Amino acid sequence: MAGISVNKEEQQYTDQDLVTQTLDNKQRFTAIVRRYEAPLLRYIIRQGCKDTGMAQDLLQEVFIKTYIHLNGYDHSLPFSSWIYRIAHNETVSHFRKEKGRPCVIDREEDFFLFEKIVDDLGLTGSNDQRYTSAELQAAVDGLEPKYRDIIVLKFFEEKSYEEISDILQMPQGTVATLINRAKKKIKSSMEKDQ
Amino acid sequence: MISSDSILHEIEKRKVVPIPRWHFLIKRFSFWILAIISVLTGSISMATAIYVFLDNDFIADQDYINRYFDQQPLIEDIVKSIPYLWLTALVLFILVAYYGFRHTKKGYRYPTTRVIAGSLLLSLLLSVGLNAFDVGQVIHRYLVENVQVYNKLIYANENRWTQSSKGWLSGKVMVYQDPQHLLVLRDFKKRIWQIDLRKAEMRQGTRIALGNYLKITGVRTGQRTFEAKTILAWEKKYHKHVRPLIDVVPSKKSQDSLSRGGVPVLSTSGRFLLR
Repeated sequence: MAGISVNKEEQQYTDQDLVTQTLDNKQRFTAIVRRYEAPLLRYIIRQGCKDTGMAQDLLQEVFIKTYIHLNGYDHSLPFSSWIYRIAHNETVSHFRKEKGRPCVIDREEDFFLFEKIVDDLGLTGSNDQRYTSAELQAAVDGLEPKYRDIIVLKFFEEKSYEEISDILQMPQGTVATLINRAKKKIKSSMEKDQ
Repeated sequence: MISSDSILHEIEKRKVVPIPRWHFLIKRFSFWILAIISVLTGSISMATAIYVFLDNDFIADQDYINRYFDQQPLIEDIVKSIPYLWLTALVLFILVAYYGFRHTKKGYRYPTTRVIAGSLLLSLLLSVGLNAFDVGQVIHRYLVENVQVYNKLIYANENRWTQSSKGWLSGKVMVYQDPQHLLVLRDFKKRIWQIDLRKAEMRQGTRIALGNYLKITGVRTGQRTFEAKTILAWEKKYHKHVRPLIDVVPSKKSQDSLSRGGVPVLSTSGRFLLR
């Protein structure tokens, strides 16, 4: 019961409020952690970190980095974009150190998202046959990291162009171009496999 | 799922604290300063490049174009005269400006082409302003006269006019003795020349005064002696500005001379004589 009341109390604060409160009292950082641990863990796994234990270690590093750099947060940007940016950079740098990046998004809970993307992209094969989510998954897994990152953010994390621009630190025009290219690559890859 | 308490525990275990705000402010400020300084230095490079290129005589003077046709193809001369050194410096500064701007708070939101085009345009506008105060000329001339390696890296009008054996000499007036028709000139290699002006013809707008830079055609007569045929002010802006003559009514002798078809010429003292 106490936990529920704490959560309710936390919900009334914006991210910016929590950042300001944390800088005065580090105990308030727990509110930020509670708010973002689930989406960030999901995001790290979707980026290709298959090992849940490793993903949790990465998540811990993300939160520690967030805490250390809290004074560098620009309040004119959405906090979620900022913390996603840290998560993205941390994961990419982890993969770089490991000299490899698994290219799979195989969480069962994401399958309904694949279905959604099939609809969003209007993916139909010859004779108006609808592609399956498994075919789409194979196509997404085969994408280069830069396209996969953007597809994950756009269709799995459901971020806007502006948010993706802030997370990946690139102009919105480039985000749009990469999304279009990624879509084309997915389509052509699926047509090839048909 | 990790617990929020374990994160706090880890933070305490590692004894980490938030980096102070001033650290981030200095970082952001540094990138802005880097971008601004790079645009400024880029505009200085562009100002000098524009000056060096436009200072070349093939641009303005048909006589020299004809002369160059005799000796080497003009196009080759133009290509050679492009100030690659300054253009390279400009490109480097623009890239640094882009890097600096890209790392400012919201710099990443702007497309690369727009940032680079903006920096170039800003540099161009600033360079026009700088050249209104002869900044390009001052920098270029300082380097020509004081930095030997610079002369090897750039082919400028000063190089063209430092060929005494071909009859082209230029430099700064150190001594001018009007009655003796004698001029002492220091060329861009800091060699001192004695110039005989007795047969010299002054081009329009040219004024001989201490510290002025002149271009002289003529014949080399000795180790450091030269007989001048034509004398021209270095700065092109003076070429079309004929100094106002003394506002006098022509004397009867002059009127007679003109009516006989005499030609007015400019004397070494800057006065018109009738021949």
